[in-house]
Amino acid sequence: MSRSSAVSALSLEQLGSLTRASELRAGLQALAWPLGSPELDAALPNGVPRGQVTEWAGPRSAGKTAVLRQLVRSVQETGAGAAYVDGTRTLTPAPWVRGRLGPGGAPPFWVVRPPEPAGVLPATEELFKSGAFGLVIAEGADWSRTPVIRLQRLARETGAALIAVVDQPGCVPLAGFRVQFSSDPHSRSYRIQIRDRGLHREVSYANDLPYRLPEDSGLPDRRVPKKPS
Amino acid sequence: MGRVACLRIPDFPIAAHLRAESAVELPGLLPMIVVRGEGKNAVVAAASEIARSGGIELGMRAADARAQHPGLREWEWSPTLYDEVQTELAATLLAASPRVSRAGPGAFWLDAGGWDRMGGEGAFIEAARSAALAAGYPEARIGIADTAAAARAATRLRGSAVQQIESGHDARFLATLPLHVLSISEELLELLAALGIETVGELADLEAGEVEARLGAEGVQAHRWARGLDDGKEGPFGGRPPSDWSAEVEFPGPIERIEPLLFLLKSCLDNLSDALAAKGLCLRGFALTIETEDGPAQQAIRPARPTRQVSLLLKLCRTALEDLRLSGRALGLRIEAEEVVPAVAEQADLFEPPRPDPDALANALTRLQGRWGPESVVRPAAADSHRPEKAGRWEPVELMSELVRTPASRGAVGHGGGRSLHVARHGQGHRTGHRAPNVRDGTPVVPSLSPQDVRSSLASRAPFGLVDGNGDDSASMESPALVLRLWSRPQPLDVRIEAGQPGAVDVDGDWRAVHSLQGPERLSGEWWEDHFRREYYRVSTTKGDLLWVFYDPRRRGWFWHGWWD
Repeated sequence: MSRSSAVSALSLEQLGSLTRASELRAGLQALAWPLGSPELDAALPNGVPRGQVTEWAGPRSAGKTAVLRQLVRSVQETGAGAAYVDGTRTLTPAPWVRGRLGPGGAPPFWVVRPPEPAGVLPATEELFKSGAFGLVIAEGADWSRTPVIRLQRLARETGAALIAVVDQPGCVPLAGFRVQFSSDPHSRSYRIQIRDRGLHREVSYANDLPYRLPEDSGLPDRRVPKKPS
Repeated sequence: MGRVACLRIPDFPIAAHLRAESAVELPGLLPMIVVRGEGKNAVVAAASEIARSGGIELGMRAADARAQHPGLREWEWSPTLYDEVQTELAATLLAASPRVSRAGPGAFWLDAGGWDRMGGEGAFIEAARSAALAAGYPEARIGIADTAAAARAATRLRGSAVQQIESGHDARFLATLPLHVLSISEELLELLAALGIETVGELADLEAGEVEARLGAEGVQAHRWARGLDDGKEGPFGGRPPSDWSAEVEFPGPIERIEPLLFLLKSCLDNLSDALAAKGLCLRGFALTIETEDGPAQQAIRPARPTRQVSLLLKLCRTALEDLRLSGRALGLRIEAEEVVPAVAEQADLFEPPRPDPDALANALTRLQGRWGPESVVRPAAADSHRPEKAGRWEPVELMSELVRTPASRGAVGHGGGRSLHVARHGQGHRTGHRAPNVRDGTPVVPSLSPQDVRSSLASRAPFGLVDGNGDDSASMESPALVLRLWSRPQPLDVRIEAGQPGAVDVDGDWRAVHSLQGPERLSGEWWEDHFRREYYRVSTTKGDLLWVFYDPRRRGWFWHGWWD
């Protein structure tokens, strides 16, 4: 649709007081950030809710970061900024590099790496206070009730979503949704469970090791098998 | 409002030559010319008033001028001499004004403000004329006005050595003058003449939008001058060096607590911000100096983006003061701009998704980087390296680059970039014995399964826990690519070798049996810098960990480098 036809398609009432066309298109769906997967978006109500704290729990290799990356991209596509407060300092840059998005390039994606995990919550609060980010992911924090209440209030005021990434489920008090990740190495399948005040939904998908290598590399193995003691 | 003075030496090249010869003649009394060029190509570059009245015009051939006036006195064009003379005169004029700058050949801008308690503008004029006379230029003309354009125009009028334009009357003064008193190009003068506009007042009466549409940027500037508006580009403050943007305060008594210091600091910032706003400028960096009983303490402050927002500057100063260890009580403070830049506004796009507020981003960035340093707020960027941990880099966020909306770097996701781990490069490293892996988005990719494959795969296995508290509410989805996470430094790992290969690994103090293993993938390279040789394995444990470990034959040990998540 050309610009002129897009404008003519909008009534004056719709335009309101100089509302951007993209905002009009987004409409009420902007109350949640879509995850970019129809199954997950159906399991969560339209995606990750804004203005709330969502717990993102699961052990190592359960697929938490994979879905988070998908979510960040989805948020950026709407033009909103996203931030990841990485208290573990284990995030690697390459998977998060983003190509051109629209005529203006990609919206900001900041990774905040405080020197100590204790800096995660202050950094998250600072990002919320700026009001510049639609999604803030915080990992490595020690979640207690008081900071969660404060962050929840800030999230509600700014309309941003907060995802608290933890290893064990139930670590984030007052979380609106609890998304739990797990994997089964035998069947190489992954499972995402979503809990919301008694409601329980589940999404599963199969995965394999990243890539296969031949068992015989063609070179002799120099290591000597450990002798039984 | 500040007052601007312009001092002009009429027929400056001739006056300069006469001054160099210590001659006593006035340029207006004898036919004199300055010639530029040689031989037949020589033309008249300057002529005294009497020469001009005798028919000599600027630009005419020197031979023709000589033919008209056989006794004509002439000199060769000498830029070096004019520069020396002008420098010398500027130094003399400093006796009248603390701020003197050049306003073209033979003309100077002077700051005429601050004479209220020293006799007013009359005293200033007297001082400036005395200085010019002392330098040997009794014919100097002086114009004083609110704007530089009016002051300069005043010096271009014949008949009066001093033109003092009352404050607020610049436009009225200019209205009746011909257009050439403004510094505008010949082309614009011709264009305005063609439109029937001959005086400055007629130009001022034009509608601003029309002027912009028809006459362009130069027309807009001339229109502003004609209306008595100052654009800040000229005058004694136009070329003001950045270091001159400063504000300082001396405390009535020694201060020990931060609150009163911040109170006075705010008033300083207010003053500086107002001065910057008047010139349409913003601070890009500044130095905060606290004078204490034991000497000055200084801290450089650089906002995330140029700003003159006092609240933000005050926050930055507060943070800086917390880091600044004062050895004694504070006696005064000074804020000095290290760099000022013009304020710019960003044009939004109706059809582009809304962008975060730049001021909000600046606030967040300033606070976070102020707390933990620039490396604490980063963004991902592609990098080309064979070494796994260098395949990509964190770049400190710079707000200006965020705001100019440059697209992400090439070689990024979806453009063939990402990890170069799997690319053999001569001289950088090599990998052996492996087929090309499947890479997507900079991470090893889970082999993509179609939704049908997934469903059939799940159906063939016993589905685990698909039933929830509310009944059958489960679904299957396409798998997202797993993301590699790395320790900042590979961690030593205890590995139990079974049948010549890893059989169990010690993760977080817990021995976990290896469920499946892929490898070795041998990586080596960078012999010229920090040689590495690693034999990587992808280890899947019975507890679900998907680890990336390597054996280092040089150190004869196992290391845990990261995991997929």
